[in-house]
Amino acid sequence: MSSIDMPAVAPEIPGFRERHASTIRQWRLYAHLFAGSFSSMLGLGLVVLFLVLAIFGPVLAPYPEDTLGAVKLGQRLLGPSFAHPFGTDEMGADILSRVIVGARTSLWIGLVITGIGAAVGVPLGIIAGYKDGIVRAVIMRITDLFLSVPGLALALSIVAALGPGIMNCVIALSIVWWPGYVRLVQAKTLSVKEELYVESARALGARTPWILWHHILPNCMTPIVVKASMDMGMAILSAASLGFIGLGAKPPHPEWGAMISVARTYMPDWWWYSAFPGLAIFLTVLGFNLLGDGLRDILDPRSRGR
Amino acid sequence: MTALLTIQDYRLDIPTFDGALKVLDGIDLALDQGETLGIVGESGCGKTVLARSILGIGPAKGKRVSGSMTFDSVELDHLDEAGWRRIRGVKISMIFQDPMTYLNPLFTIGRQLSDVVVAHKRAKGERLPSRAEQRKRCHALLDQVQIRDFERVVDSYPHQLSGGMRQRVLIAMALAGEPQLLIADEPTTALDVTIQAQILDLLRDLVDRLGLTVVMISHDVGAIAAIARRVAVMYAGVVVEQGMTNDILTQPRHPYTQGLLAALPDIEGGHQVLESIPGTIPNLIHPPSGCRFHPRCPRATEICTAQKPVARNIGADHVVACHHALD
Amino acid sequence: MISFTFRKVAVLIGTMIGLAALTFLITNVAPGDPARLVAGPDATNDMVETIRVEYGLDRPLIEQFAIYMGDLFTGNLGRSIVSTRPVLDELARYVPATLELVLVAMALGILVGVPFGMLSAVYRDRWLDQITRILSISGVALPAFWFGILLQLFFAVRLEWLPVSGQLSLTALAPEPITHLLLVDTLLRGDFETFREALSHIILPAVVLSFPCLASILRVNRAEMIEVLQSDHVVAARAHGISSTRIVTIYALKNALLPTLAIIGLRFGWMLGSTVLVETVFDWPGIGLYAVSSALASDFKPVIGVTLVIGFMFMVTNTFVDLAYAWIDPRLRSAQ
Repeated sequence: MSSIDMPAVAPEIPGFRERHASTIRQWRLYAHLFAGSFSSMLGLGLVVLFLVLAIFGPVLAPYPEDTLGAVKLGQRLLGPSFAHPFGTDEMGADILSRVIVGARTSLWIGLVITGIGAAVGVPLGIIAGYKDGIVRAVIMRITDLFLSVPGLALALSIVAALGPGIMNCVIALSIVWWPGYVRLVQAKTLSVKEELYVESARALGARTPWILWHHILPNCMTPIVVKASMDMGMAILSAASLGFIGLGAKPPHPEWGAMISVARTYMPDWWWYSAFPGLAIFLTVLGFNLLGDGLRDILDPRSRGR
Repeated sequence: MTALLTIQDYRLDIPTFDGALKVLDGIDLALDQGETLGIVGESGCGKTVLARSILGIGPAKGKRVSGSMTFDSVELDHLDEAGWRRIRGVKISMIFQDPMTYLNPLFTIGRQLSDVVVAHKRAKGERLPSRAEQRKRCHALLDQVQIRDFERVVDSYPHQLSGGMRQRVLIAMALAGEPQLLIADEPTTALDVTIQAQILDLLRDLVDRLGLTVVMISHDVGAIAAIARRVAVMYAGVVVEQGMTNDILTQPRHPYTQGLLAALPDIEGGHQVLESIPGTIPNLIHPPSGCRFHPRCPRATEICTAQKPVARNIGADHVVACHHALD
Repeated sequence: MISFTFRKVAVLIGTMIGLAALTFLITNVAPGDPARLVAGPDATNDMVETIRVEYGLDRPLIEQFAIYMGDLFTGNLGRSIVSTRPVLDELARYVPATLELVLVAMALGILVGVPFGMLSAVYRDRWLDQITRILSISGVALPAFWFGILLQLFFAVRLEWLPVSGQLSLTALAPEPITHLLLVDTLLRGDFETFREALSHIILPAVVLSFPCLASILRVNRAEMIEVLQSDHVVAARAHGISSTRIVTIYALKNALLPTLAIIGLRFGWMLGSTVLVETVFDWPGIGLYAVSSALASDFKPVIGVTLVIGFMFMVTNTFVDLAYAWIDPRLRSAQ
């Protein structure tokens, strides 16, 4: 019974492939389903393009100085051409450059709003789903209260109270964004909680935080990931909407919604001014929506056509 | 005399990501007018798929690879929507497993039943019944399945009825078109034991009284024996043995049938040791070569892995697909 | 059913009180001086002080809250700084236009979304399905304000088929109000000329407002139809010889309508929020435009008033949706 009896040949340790065969198969299936869907791949492509523009924007923009508010009165409101594929604005700035750099603004707006929304909403949702009684009642009452007013309208009144500006706009949208996650996660937690493996973990004396971390949260990840992907798009859209109204980013800051807001006064003769920033918003939001939709299709077997 | 229903060499695949599931592998069955046939087998052996394929409501992605199904000299595999409407409910009808999910929860029993009545009249090209006639017909149909408080039941929604009542309603629906062939797919499985007996009694009574031709599917040998004069045993998409119910129950020849019967609790005999068949149902994407049962078979030899056994007659109307049936 | 209705109305009142409290919180927790917020950016220090005393903003928060809630109960939403008129009066003037726009848009969304969702499910993966899917996904992603501008450019400026903006052209005379809904009033008065005029004005904003809503109704209805069409009772109905048309349009549709109803309620609220964008683009004289112009002028009371009204309309809609749910689904009815 000691280490002397160790067999000469070590027992064959299964390789990585063998040990993770079922996981690998699962991911292969996901990849296969995802790649087989045109709309999912289109979404992925649009999101990747957006991320590239957001990261390398200042390098890629043909006229980087135009994004900082350079004034070139000599070339005001030129139509699309080789030099300026998207035309120029009323300050003579290249619209293509401003649209490219605007991606970065949109990315951080989307990340912050979605991130805060999830960071606040997911824990509250798990607690509300796992605990009974007064804790759940209080959390869900407050959540329902926030959901009782359409987000944009509530955000508008918060921005009105805080004062216009891109920062306040992000704060306001973050305040209205978290309840969606509470609802989603609470419902999921409620159903996972009843599963046998959770019951048995409880029966074996596992502590609540351990169960929440090892059983509840992993099971909530799929809907969270899907929602977060879609929300990136919707948050960008909402921020652009506030920018359009005139309560968000202020020119010359290159933000797509604010650009359209200014461009509207140059309608209809200078159509390109509003058309291209709007197209950028549309494609970005579309990309995140398609991606989220594709993820849901593969991750949520219920929606998969068996 | 030609059979009412003939199934010949019927093969069905269901494509999946990992390859095609070979769900039915060369089914041969024939059924005469007035006969009662039971199909018995474990869950997953393909008996429900087979039954549904007869009515053209099999798995949506299912693909017929070979074979044919003929009913009353109509080729069922080539029917279009209009053709099916002249068959479903009026020539061939079906009773389902779980009476809760097979009734639409949002419509009253009366509404669903009279819709079926109207559909049959239309299919037969007869004059459509008036409201009062529909109600009268519903009354008669529910009476036939021994539902006495007609007034309450017609205006009820499915969730307001007990499981046994719902199954009676579904039987009434299936009989509404006076079909020649009734397919009963596990009609008692989802019910309480006491209700099971009632429903079986009702079914047997109806079969006798109306002279119905019946295909009854179940994993419950007792239920089959109560209704069917003949029985076919299915294993992994293959009919392994068929014959008169009595013969099969007393002198099973196929090792799978023998295992299946040995696994039944014997109430009268009182011996308590239940046997089980070792192993599990095979993977239908890569089914075992030769005889699909050989990995679990106590009598398997080399030939069983190499060659698919041909069904052969070993007595009066007793067919077995096994290389060692007479060992 | 009656106790169900009663409970729903109780919840509605409770949520309304909560919402009032929330708006109070927004006003008072925001950094900066609530008195200055109310007084507006151009007020002198003296004016701010006067307002502080007049509005009781120098008193303890709890007391202010009690006064605020009391005011709301009596319908006092404060005054607009810009027009100096009571916010309630102005809301009463602007609400009908918004309501009309939202109702027309909702009708469009349902009338197009439900049938096409159904067709899309029946002809799953065929060309019709592909087109409706692309449309429905892009519908949610379209920035309403940008889409509105594009439609204005094309249909109003280029083709000159429809007016660019507004609810009526300057020369047209609104009829003596009955319901305050322009389309209804013109019809009731028999003024078909003005009716046509009003209709041509409402088309573009209603299309823009309804598009995302239409898209999500379509998507949900499609998904539900696909699921219902695979359910056991549909299999049974087919086996009993019920025709496909009847199964799809009556049996399955009623089942699929339940979740669709939920999304309709949700989208109604979303539409109310989006009016701030669409009304801005189309110069539509409703509460959305009122809220935006007030917010831009730092006129705070009207913004809060609009938030309360939108919240109220949304809650009423959801109450109706809950009731409709119970009306369609007998299981909910008898569970009460």
